[in-house]
Amino acid sequence: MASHPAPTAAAEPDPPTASAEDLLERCAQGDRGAFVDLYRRLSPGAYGLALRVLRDEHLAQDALQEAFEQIWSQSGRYDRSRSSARSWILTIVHRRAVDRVRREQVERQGAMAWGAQHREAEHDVVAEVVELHADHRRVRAALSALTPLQRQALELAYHRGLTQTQVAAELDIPLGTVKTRMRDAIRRLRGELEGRR
Amino acid sequence: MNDENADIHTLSGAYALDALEPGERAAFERHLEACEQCRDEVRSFGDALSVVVDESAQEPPERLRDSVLAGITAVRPLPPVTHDSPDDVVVALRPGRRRAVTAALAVAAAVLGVALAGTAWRTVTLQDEVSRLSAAAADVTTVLTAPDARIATATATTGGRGTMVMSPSSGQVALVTDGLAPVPAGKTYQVWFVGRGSVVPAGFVDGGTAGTVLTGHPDDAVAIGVTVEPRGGSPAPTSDPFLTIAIPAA
Repeated sequence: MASHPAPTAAAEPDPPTASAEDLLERCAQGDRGAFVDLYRRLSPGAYGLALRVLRDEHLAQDALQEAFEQIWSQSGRYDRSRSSARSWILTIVHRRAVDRVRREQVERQGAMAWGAQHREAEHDVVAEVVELHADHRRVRAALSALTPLQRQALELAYHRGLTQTQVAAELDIPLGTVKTRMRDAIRRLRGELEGRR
Repeated sequence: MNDENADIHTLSGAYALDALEPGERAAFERHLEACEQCRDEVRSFGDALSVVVDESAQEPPERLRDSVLAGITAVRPLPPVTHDSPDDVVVALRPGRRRAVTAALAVAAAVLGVALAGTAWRTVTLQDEVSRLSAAAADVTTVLTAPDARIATATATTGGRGTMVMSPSSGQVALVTDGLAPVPAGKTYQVWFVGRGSVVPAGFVDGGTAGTVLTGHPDDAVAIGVTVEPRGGSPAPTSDPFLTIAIPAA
């Protein structure tokens, strides 16, 4: 596939060669210009991810704001030997989004217990498994190489914000199966993406 | 050796997907310190997920950038310190790594809404606040400074916030509030443990900044809620909660 041209923001004299890793390390020195550049580059992916998880523009924007504030304040803790800057940043965004989803699940449970104290153990609404519709052919191809069960595991965890324990309960399968399924799924995904580069 | 579980390696996938409970995540992060193979795997998983994420990229609204930049104007990045998880709603304090005073301040910081993860230390204010809290409720301080204290915070619908601190070792749960509206005349703020299908009384809390150790913590509690009740309290809540805090998983 043709590589995307870098988004050309007319007025950014920042060295185009600075990697996201360099920018993040400059943030740790208090360089706001580097932060602006980093935000410009990575906020679309981050916003897309937050929207995917939260399915609500306002919630996604809140999560993105919190995440980028945290990225700034914790930039000194980034360690490039551990992860790419992009991955580190997306992890923070994802955790923010997932925390929000999980809090709301609990609050919903609380609210339901409130409204219906006599009801029997509450009955989780079985989440319908939304099909992944990645826009891009390469990702779609990689995902389609997964088994349906592997795709489902990725979807429930990464895009729905369920914990492995919740996935096991929802699918009524042993936790050990969930663990290995998640790892197999993401290994396969990684392999497919590498093979199609 | 840190060999808690022979197949802890299998958690690498769930970790990369953020599908671990906070306790599991902390255990896996300890494992990561010692396992290069898992570190490599987690790194490559993160890169694979980044590719997937990029395909659904979407420009956020322009004003969001402005508000993010406004949000960091008064904030200086924290100095590098540890390999701790970059983000935890639940903060597990580790004895032996920090002195007790620091731990107490850290808890108080969270209590007062100064995010441990982010923003600045307002030490003077904290010091004041710690003395105030300690004087007001020595019991609360005991929970706050327990070596295994865990924290969760939520904002009240009526303004202010509440922070729940629980210490599994002591089985105690404390609620500390900050900036709640004054209790209306003739009323009281009553706290409840919310279980799956049950709500049980847990005690009372004042308006403003206050702390209390809750009573009768049921095993199945998933959250605590606070309602406005007639003075003296009710056997069961008579109104909807204005503050709900999810209990962090152990």
